Amino acid sequence: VTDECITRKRITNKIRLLRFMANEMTQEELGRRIKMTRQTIAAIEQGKYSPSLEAAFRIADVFDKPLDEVFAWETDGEA
Amino acid sequence: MSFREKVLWASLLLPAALWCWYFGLIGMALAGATALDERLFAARMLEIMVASIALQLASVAVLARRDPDPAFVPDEREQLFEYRGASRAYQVISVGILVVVAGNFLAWSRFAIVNAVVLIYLLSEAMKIGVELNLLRKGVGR
Repeated sequence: VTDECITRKRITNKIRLLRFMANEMTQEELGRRIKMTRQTIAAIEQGKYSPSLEAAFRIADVFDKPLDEVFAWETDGEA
Repeated sequence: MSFREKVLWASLLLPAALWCWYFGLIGMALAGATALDERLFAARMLEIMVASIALQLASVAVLARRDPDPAFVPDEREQLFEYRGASRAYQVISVGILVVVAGNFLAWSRFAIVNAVVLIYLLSEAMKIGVELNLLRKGVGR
């Protein structure tokens, strides 16, 4: 793993878009379905918190999407 | 503000008020304003411990009743904050142990050592809760 990989790459996600497409599901509703607080969902959406792999799978499951359609590993500014 | 944040504020402020009063009385006694009756202070300490636990339980019950969907079990992000808080609290306890050991060598009284241990525990709790609240406020957790 290069230094550049560590410093410049981050996990991005499309949860906000997917919520909108799922009948404008609220953060609270998503949180309730995967046993997380609304605040944690907000932090994930904003990229302030990277969820565990299990939580990421649970989120993808709610939207019936594969993991890589919800989360991506991108260089800053790429998303 | 999340349910957990409210519970943490209650867990910080309610015992803090009681213990500040207790240590304030000790401070006044040490300053000579009042008598330092060790038995009386021991009884007060026990009363405050019981009152502190009762107040915290009552506050959680009240907050849970007012919250439409109280999350009693912390989610993974809240657990992460809890671990970080505990890690800082461990540092406080480590330093505290050194202070108490030094106090023992300096021939502190049993009263002083007991109060020092309680104070260290309270400071570590305050540190744990403070770190958690700070992280919850900032919303970060990478």
